[in-house]
Amino acid sequence: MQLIKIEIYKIFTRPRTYISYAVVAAIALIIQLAMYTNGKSFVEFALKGVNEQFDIKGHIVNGYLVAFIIMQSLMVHIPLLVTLVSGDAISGEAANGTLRLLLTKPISRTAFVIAKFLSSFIYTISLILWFAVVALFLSLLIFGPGDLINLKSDAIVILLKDDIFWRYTAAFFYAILAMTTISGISILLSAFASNSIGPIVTTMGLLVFFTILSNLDIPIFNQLKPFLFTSHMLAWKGFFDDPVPYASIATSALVLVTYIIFSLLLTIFYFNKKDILS
Amino acid sequence: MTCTFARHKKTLFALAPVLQVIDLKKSFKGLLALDNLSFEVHKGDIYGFLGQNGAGKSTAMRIILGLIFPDSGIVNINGNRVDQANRKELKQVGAIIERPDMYTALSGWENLRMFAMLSSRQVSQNRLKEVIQIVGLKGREHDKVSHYSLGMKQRLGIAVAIAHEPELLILDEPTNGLDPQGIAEIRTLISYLGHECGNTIVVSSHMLFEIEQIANKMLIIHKGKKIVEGLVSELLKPEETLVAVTVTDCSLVIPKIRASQWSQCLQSFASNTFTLKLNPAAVPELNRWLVQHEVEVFGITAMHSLENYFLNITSHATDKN
Repeated sequence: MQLIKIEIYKIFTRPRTYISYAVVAAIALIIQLAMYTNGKSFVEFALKGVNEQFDIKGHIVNGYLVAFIIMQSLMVHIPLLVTLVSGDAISGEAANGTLRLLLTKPISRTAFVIAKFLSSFIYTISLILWFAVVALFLSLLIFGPGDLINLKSDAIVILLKDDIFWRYTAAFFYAILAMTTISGISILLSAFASNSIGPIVTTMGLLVFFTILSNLDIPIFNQLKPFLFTSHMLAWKGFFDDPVPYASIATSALVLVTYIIFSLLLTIFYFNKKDILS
Repeated sequence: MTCTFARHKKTLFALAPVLQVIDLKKSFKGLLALDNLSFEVHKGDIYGFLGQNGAGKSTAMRIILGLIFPDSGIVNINGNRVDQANRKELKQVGAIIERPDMYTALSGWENLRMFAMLSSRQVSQNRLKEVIQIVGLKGREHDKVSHYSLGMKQRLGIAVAIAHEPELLILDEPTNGLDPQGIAEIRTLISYLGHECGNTIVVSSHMLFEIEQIANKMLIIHKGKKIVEGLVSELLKPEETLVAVTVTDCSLVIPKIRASQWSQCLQSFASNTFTLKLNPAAVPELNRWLVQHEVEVFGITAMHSLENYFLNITSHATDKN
């Protein structure tokens, strides 16, 4: 417990940690400003094809819609922010030389890795909570609530305003799971390195590479897609479908949990055998 | 300065070594770094660990502290084996390994408190204040470590090492990179911790002169092997003092030396200097003999120091290899 407290303390005393909060807030505010000034024309443009067949009226540019747009924009980038902190977890200590001193203390390496995982997990929760505050609550405060129009490539889903908040709550929980997956992979890579940049860049590279593979509609990759974590990162969008595809979301969540457990166990296994030469 | 060390004496095992290293062997990518290294450190010892760069000192210290895993061999602290499965004995150890790296974004006090929390012992605020006083950081403890000089970082490192009142201190190159004043300060501090506070200390250093000054026992390691171990006072016996004699031309003198009573003392020679191992009391007699044999002497220098001893012994070890 002492170790976890210390790890959390270390995370939240580093300036790098707050860059993530600042970036999330900045992007959310920019989108909110854009929607505040040009929201109507944006929605008209987005609904151009739909308006020819349906007559959509009401408080369309509302807090829920703005939050949904922010989520769509940011959920691709938040993994990069999580990587900035988690990718540095072990390798940063090695690069600074503090890993040496830490591991001369009577703490097991397994406890050390678990503390790193849990502190990164707590950081991830805090980042998603912050994201919820600036993306959802601030949008609701500025634009007010309303029905949410979810415009998909093959359908349009209209969710009534009283049926939306729980979906956001579920989506944020799923986002925590997705970001914890990224965090776990970053920490695993971090255990192999003795500099901070390597694991951060490698995680980002993996993320970009797997995202491209996940989105390529080429038969040779289709068999691979269900096993790529990037194919399951955006399953939170399912909570904004009607009906909600619970089975599909559960499968995706299971894949991500498998990644997290595998990353944790592999990190513990490797780190317990590693000679600390830094 | 006040001192409240050695509270955790285990009288039952008073005769057992505090640290026991048995047949440590370690290689890195096929290169042998330690070759069946064994030694014991007893309570109250200040144990000098000497060796050239790459001799295996840091590897041995890292193995003792569980940072590196040996290929074979055992490390016992107070009779209990220390390995990956049992690290709790490390609460009796305080260490600095090479550089005194700390969290630079935190203050000295925060670093000290944080590492004390990880020591598995209750460390009071008063104790932290006491160690700050001992290492001479009072007044600067709340400054960020990024504003510390290397000497201050090293003193903070020692504060971290001693805060939880360990029985054994392991200090790997504690004066590395320090200026002469910093070296003197750290040397004084180590002497204080050992002689005044009764700490058991294992210290390695490039500054062999320091070891000669502060250690009571020493071990010389060369290419991963123990070359010699014993009391500093015994290893540096006056009768084994090296004496360097500078002459015009050694090729004229060495045959005379070899034909004389000094032949047994001859250690080495170069173009105009030769060395003899002898008691310093015999130097006047040597001088007389050289004058009598019409040798032009430019200087006679007694080289009684650990450094010469060390260089001598490691060069012999190299020759044997």
